[in-house]
Parts: sequence; structure tokens; C-alpha cells
Amino acid sequence: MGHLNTDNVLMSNNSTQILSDEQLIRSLASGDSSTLNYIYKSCYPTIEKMVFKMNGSVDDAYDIFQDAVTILYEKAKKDELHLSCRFSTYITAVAKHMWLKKMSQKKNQSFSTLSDYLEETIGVHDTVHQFFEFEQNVSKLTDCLKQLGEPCNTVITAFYIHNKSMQDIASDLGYTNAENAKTQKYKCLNRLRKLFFNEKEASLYK
Amino acid sequence: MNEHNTYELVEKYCHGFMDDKEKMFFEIDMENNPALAQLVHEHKTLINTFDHHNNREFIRYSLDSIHKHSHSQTHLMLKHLKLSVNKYWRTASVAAVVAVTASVLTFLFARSIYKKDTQATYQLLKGEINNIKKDQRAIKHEVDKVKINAVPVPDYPSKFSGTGFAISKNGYLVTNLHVVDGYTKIFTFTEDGIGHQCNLVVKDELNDLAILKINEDDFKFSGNLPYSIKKSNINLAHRIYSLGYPKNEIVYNEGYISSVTGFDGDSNKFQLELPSNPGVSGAPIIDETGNVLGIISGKQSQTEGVTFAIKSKELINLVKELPEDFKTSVLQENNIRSLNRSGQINQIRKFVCMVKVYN
Repeated sequence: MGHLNTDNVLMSNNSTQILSDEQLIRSLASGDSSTLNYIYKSCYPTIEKMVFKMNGSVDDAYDIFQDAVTILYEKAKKDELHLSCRFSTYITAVAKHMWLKKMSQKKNQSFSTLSDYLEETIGVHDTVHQFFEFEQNVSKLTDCLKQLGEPCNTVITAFYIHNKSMQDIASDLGYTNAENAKTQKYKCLNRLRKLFFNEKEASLYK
Repeated sequence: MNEHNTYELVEKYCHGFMDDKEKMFFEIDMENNPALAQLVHEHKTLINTFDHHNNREFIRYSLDSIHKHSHSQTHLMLKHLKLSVNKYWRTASVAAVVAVTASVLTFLFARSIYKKDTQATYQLLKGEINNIKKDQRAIKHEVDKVKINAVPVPDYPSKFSGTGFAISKNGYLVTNLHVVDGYTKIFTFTEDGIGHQCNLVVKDELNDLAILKINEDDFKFSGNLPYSIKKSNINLAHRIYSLGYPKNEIVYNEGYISSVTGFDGDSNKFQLELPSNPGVSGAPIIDETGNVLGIISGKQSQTEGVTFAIKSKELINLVKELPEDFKTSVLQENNIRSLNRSGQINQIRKFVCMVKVYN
């Protein structure tokens, strides 16, 4: 892997492209599968070894890697990924930080003492913190969708998760037109919003 | 503004579908209406959560297909290890047993080699001794060959045995006549155990003395006679010692002169307080200065420890009858006067022999 540290080699369409970190981030933002493949090949072994050394299993390592790539993908998409270090260093730092945070959550420890100088320098902490917040929201949203019941669950999932058009949703669920479906969607969304934020407030005062 | 329309606007705003003018008015509305602003904020959060969920699912889905097709090195290693353990535990256990056995055997083998080494050395030593023995036998054989003219020692048991001691370097010995009288096969055995055939040269029946000559032309005792044989006064309580052959080894005894006369007032003899056994007849009685005072001749049968000896003056009278190859002067010389007892004995013992007679 040594020579790959200076230039990223991307295998696609049987041709080898050499990418800079900037190009890598741009192609990651587009969700290009060969870029993901490259990131997996070049970064996963290091992260796996690291997690393995820190008392994690292979499955733990893969979970952490997935989350780290998700973070980078989201940041790249929002054009928020401006690196002050190498891409591979950054993703490894993110993964390490996440793993330590997960461990400390398990043991109910304070995490602040665990972060080291490098992670603070490249600003991993906030990124990871945000990710964990999103993760909490996602699991809350999933719970709320279940509570919403049908047809709201289907309508909301189809629109916001499966990115279906209102036309398709209307015909799938047997609404007379898209406008009716839209009204139904807004009703469901309102219920979901109330459920989600009420629950959040309720959980805050627990 | 009904719910439907409000949501439509919020959605439009959140997804950035409004044009600049529309957006500006909507933001003014939000400033004036906190409920609307709250709604927008909450909707944004929901949409972000959905986005995050979708992004996460996309990445997971994409990576899963990659991950499935490429086994991690660690995973492979562990899997291989497990497989190896499952597949090869029999072989492995056999190998372990072999390894342990081999090491134990090696240990034992090495130990036995070490042992063998010491044993070999030991045997070598033994072998050397055997070689020396062989060599000695060979030398003895050669010596025996030289003495081809000498009469061999009979291989049957002797009739009687006594003691004799040398009175010259060239093989004259004195012993009791009763030891050798009537026998022609007379052998003397020097300290080294070699037997020499002797002839009776002169005898004194009255004093029970006999002088023998070893019948070998080249025979010589090693060294000069250590002791002197002189006419000397027999004093009571004079401490004496003797060397004789009551058995096949030379035996030392010591005592004192208990009477200046022998049995029943015999003036040719004197009486000793000295343990004596059959076989010591003919043994010399020597005083502390290495002078031979007499020759043991017998003992009083009833009492233990009483021994009689013939005075040396009788011997001196007898040697006068010897041929010219005997020199009387040697009897005057004493080489052991200044030595201590054991020093004297070491010199004397070479000149004291066992005398055996055969039928």
C-alpha cells in the first residue's frame, strides 16, 4: 500500500486513474461505486487492524468503517469536506474516534479524555458528534414511523426514503389524483412531526 | 393559509425550490411568525434525518457488496486458523505428541551417550590394566623362558612351608633344617611371588639349621643385604621383631627377649615373647638396629606366645662351611641402622622368602 499514500489509484473500466484527495472527495460526493471500492481497498484494512487492536471484532470494524464512510460521504455531498490532512488519515481518525466513543458509551465513561491531539487538530470531534445525533434521530424517526401506522408509514417512506414521485404514490395507494396523495402526505407529515418532536421533548425531561 | 399550503411552502423553501423573491417574502413571514419558523426548523430536522438515513443506507448497501466479495485479511486469518484447527487438529495433536516424544527421546539419548562416554573411559582404563597385565604375563613368560634350565614349581600343594632369609646377594638362604630335611624339591618364593628351586648346601642337625642356595646361575637379590648378622649379646627385655610367612603374605610381629636360654635351658637358643604360627620357622629375629639376633625354630606347645630362636652365632659357625662364592664379610654390613622400623622392614622384606618343600 506504500506507494498509494502519495497518489490514490482508482481502478475503473480496466483503466488506472490517479486521483488527488480533492478528486477523490468529489467522486465520493457523487456516490461513485468504484470510488467506494477504492476507499474500501485502501482504508478498510488499516481501520480493521486498528479496531481489532482496540478489542473490537471484525464486525465492529466493518460497522465503524461504514459509519466513517457515511460521515465523509455526507460531508462531501454538502461540500463541507475540506481536509487539512490526507484522506486516509482523516477517515482513520474518524473511525478511531467513533470506536472510542462507542466503547465509552458501553462503559458509561466520559469521552473527552479519550480524544487525542490529532483528532482535535483535524476537527473530528464535532463531525462524529453530529453523526451520533443523526443516528439517534434516525432511530427515533423509525420508531415514529411505526407508531404512525398505515397509510402514513407507506406514504412517508415512499416519498422521503424511496424518493417516489407523488404520482407513483397516488397510483400505488389508489388515490384518485396526486393532489389527494399530497394532502394525505402533509397530514401524515404533520402527525410525524408532532410525534417526533413531542417524543423528543418527552425524552428530554425523563 | 391552510395546512396544505403552508406545508407546500415550507417544503419548497427547505428544498431550495423558491426563487429569490419568493424566498425573501417567506423569510419575512418567518420573522413575523415564530410558529412558522419553528415549523420550518422542525421540518428541516426531519428532512435531514431522512437524508441521513438515506445516505447511510446507500453507503451501507454499496459497501456491503464490496465487503461481501473481499474477505478481510483478519477475517481470513481467523477463519483459516479456525479451519486449520478443525481440519488439522488430529494431525496437529499427532505432531505435538511426536514433538514431545522426540524431545524426550533426544534428552534420554543424549543422557545415555553421556553415560556411555564415561563408561567407555572407565572401560578403557580397565582395558589398560588388562593390557598391563597381559604385558606383565608376557614379560614373565620371557623371564620363565630365560630360566628354562630352572626346575618349574610343582603345580600340586607343598608338603611343608617355612621361612628363610638371605645371607648373601647371590642366593644363599638360611632356614630351619626341619623345614627341608628329607626333601629334594625345595623351592623358595621371593617377595614378588616367583619360585626358585634350591639345593641344600650345608646343614647343622644339632642346631636345626640349613643353608640353601637358589639353583640359578644368574640369580641376584636386588641390592645388598640390609641387615647384619653378628655374634651379639642376648639381653633380657631386648625388643625384637620378625618377618615370616605363616601364610602366603609376609607377616610382621614384634616382641622381646624373655629368656637368654631356650627350651629346657638350651644354651644355643633363647626365648622370646613373640606370637608365632606354623610357617614362621626360619624367620629372622631382628633387633631395633637391624641386626639379626637369631632364627625362629619353634614354640612351646602349651603356652601361647612363647617362641624359641637359634642364636645367630650358630649360623655364623655354619657359614664357614660354605663354598668360596660366599663372602662372610657381607654379614657385618648394616645399611638400615639409622632407618625407622617401617623403613627397615621395607628393606628387609625383599630378602625374606617363603620356603616350600614338595614330594
